[in-house]
Amino acid sequence: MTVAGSRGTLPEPATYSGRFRIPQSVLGYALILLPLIVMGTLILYPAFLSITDTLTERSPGGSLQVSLADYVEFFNTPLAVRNLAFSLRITAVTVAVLFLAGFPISLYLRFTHGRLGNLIQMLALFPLFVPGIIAAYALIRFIGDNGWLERFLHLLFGYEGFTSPYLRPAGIVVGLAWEGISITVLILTAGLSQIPDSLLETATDVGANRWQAFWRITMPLMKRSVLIVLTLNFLTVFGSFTIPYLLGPASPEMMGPYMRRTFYDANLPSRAQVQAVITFLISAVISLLYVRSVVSQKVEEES
Amino acid sequence: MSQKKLSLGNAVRLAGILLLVLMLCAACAMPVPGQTAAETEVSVIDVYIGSDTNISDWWSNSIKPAFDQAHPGYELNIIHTGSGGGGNGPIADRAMAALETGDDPGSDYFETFNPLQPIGAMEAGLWQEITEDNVPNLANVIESARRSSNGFDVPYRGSQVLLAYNAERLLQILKDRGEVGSDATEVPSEFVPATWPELMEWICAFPGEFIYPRPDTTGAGREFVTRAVFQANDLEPARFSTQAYAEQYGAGELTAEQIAEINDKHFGGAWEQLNAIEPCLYDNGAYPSGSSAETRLLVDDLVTMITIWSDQALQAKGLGLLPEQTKFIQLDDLPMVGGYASSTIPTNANDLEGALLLANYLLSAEMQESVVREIGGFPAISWDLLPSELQEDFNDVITDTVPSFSSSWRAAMFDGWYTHVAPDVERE
Amino acid sequence: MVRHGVVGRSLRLIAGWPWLGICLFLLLALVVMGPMLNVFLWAFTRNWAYPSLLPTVWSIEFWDDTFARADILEGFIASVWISLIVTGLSAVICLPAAYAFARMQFPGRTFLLLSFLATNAFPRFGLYITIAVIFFRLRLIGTVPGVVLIQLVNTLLFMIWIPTAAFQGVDRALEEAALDVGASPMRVFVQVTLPLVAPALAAALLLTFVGTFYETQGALLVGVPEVRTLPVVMIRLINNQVVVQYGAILSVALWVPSLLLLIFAQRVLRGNTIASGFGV
Repeated sequence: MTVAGSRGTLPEPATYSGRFRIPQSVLGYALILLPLIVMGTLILYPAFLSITDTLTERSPGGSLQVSLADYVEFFNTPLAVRNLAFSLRITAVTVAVLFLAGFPISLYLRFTHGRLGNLIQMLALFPLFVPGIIAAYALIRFIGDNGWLERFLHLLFGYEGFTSPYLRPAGIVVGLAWEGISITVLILTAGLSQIPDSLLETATDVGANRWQAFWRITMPLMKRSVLIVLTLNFLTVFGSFTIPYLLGPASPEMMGPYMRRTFYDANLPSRAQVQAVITFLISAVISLLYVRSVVSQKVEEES
Repeated sequence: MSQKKLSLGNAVRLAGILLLVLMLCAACAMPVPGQTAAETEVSVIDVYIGSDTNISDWWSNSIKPAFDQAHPGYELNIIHTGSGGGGNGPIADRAMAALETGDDPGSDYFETFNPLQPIGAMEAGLWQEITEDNVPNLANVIESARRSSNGFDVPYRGSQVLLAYNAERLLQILKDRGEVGSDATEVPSEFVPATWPELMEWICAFPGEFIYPRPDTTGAGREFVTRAVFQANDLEPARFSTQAYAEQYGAGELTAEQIAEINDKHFGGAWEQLNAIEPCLYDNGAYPSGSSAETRLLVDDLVTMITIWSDQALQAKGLGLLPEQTKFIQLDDLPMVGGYASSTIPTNANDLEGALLLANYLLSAEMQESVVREIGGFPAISWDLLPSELQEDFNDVITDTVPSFSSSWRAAMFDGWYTHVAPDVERE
Repeated sequence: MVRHGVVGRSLRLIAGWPWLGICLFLLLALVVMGPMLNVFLWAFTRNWAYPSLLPTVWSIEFWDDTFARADILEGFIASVWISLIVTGLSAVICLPAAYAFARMQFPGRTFLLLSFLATNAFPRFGLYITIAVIFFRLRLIGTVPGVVLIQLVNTLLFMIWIPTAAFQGVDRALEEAALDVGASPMRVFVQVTLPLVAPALAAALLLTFVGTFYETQGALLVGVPEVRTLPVVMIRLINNQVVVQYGAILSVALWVPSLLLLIFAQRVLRGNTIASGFGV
């Protein structure tokens, strides 16, 4: 068994190298060049090009000049602003729901063991291995009008007041929460597993009660995992497409379906580009927080 | 770790059961390999089907036996290339290449193909011109079907968007309201819309009972919206031709101003009508994404009336998937948009004569009846030539007009619908 | 996941509340398995009238139709091919880099390794739109190379980070010993290093393959109408097929790879490896 699973520790520098004639740094750069090129051309270049494209305008004379016209237009389009606000609201709600659902599960998994815990873990991880498209299909059947859930409520409890979240904003939240629960639990459990039992025991030994132990020890140590989970979920949900496309209302739309529609149905690629850049800019702070938390954790592990 | 083993064991067991079930099912569902009986003495006509499986099934199970029996000395060989991917495209390319080199094209008949393809095919004379001399039954083909053809193809089956309604549910509503006696067995015709204005009235007379899907997700939604556009444009579909679009707006990406202009000029009246009925739609305008979700509403007894493609409707009805009392109607004043599938024949076909014979046979009353009965299509010949009982069965959907709406206009229409119609719904 | 035997005294309470676990389990079972089970039943249904909890008429007749459908078969073939190409390409591009990151020392190594986080740092669909705009100009829309390239983006992080951790985990003493007895570096790599990292590499390849197989957004944006992978066909079935059973049957059929992956992942990977792919 390899230690492939050893938690994200960074590679240690090589200790032997004498057998290569080419300087190791040159060879190293050569080997990592390809993925860097792929990343450069398929992520950084398109993002950069979109930003410059949408920020410039060709003047009648033919020279390029900086112009905010595209963005002014976006924010002057009521529908666009409404969709953006809607996306942010759905994202905020979903991220909160995921955290509130995921944290208790992770806590339970961290501090319990046995058959039940194992089953719960498997259930929580299951959605990670279900493609979004199948999840969407299953949820439509399950939570839709006269779907299975409604039938259960009707037959078992005689409950008639069920309003299906399908084709409503709540449908998107349900779908995205279903998809995202696995990663949330995975990351939070990984974070919790880093807190040694001994630390908690010491705390209780010196007389702290369980809430104090939780707030004073568990939470501060979990800060980074929590930050990673919140930011990663934000980016995933904000950039989602399949679930809002299949489970959400016709209007307002989330940015994903809105961009696709602009790109394809309305055949306005340059407008879609503006919308994409706006999603980049809005999530820039979140992306930064995400990258920073991961990097600081890695660097700490490294040292 | 004991827990790991445990969960692994569970997963293995679960997968095992699943696999077993799947294997059983796969075994039951194994398709029987097609027989390739190539008898001597008969001329084999290679027919390429580039449509969905229901069409290739229909060819294999209905047309081939009937044709082979009616024309001794000929035998159809049905090859399904599928509607996805390239479909019949590569086969046509091969026929084109064979035309230049004089080789065997390997094909005699294309079930559905656009004679304007491949590029240069018309100039090179790849496709056989269809006239009443070589296909006598062409004389019976109706005007709206002929319009879709350029003279080098044979339009032979059509489909159209229809209205489907659950008569049982409608009758119950009428009984509950006291509009009809409790012993009534049929919906009186005044409660079934026959024209667009009647439909608009009907929708608000029965709030929550009608729905159409988002126009960009399925033809069933698109053509309903298009019909509203026609209504706002004096019922003149001709205004929305490819040519009319190109003259006014050219080609390429539209600007935001142009989209707004098109909406003002051509679609404004349609948005007014659609906004007016919005409060009366199912769940205050729960526009489903796609016809599948829309049809579920009818099947699950949540609405009374929906829009639906004729072939899908009749296929689903035939499979018993729609409510038993589902009936179909087409609007009398101007039907909703539809189109015809047209066949082409390469001039270098191995058996040109046989292929033309097949084209003629498809336009016979017998085969046109099969179009209606078996695939839920529309005949390309006049309904008057079909048996009268068939006319009665399909009385409410019969039309000789199939208007068209050029796809060039769609981009602005979709955007307009999302800008002017959809946002008025508050669904929290 | 990782539950050491010793549990803090104060927190023993949680474990001592069996009903808490049972409630969690029931809730999760309903929410997670409910929809899946529902689809499973739909695959064997002819009619299912409201408000019956179980199908009113059972049938397997649609299985035949589903697998005879030309679009599903073509989609399956397209998906298998494209996923193989993407996985192969990703391996060729990323695995040497992972080796370099694990074994070689060069300035900026840590920074460059972390730079691959950029793949997670953009809202995905926005990023795809910007890529699609470029592909549009390059006429890559509706082509297999276009789909392969857009799907490659998703694979970088896993294909570099997981193998990097694996190479780094190999005990150098074994390699040194082999070198000392005169084995060539190549032979050491093939006979000593490779077998040790094989499970993790296989896991990375499998995750990439299955992830690509199910990838929907990029394929939908860049592939249609000419290139239709299975998930794109599935979207069409879900949206516009009146016979809902097709979608249900396809879903059930597509579970099998999902479950196999779940089992494999449980066996070869520790859960944290996947988490590390997301930066924890």
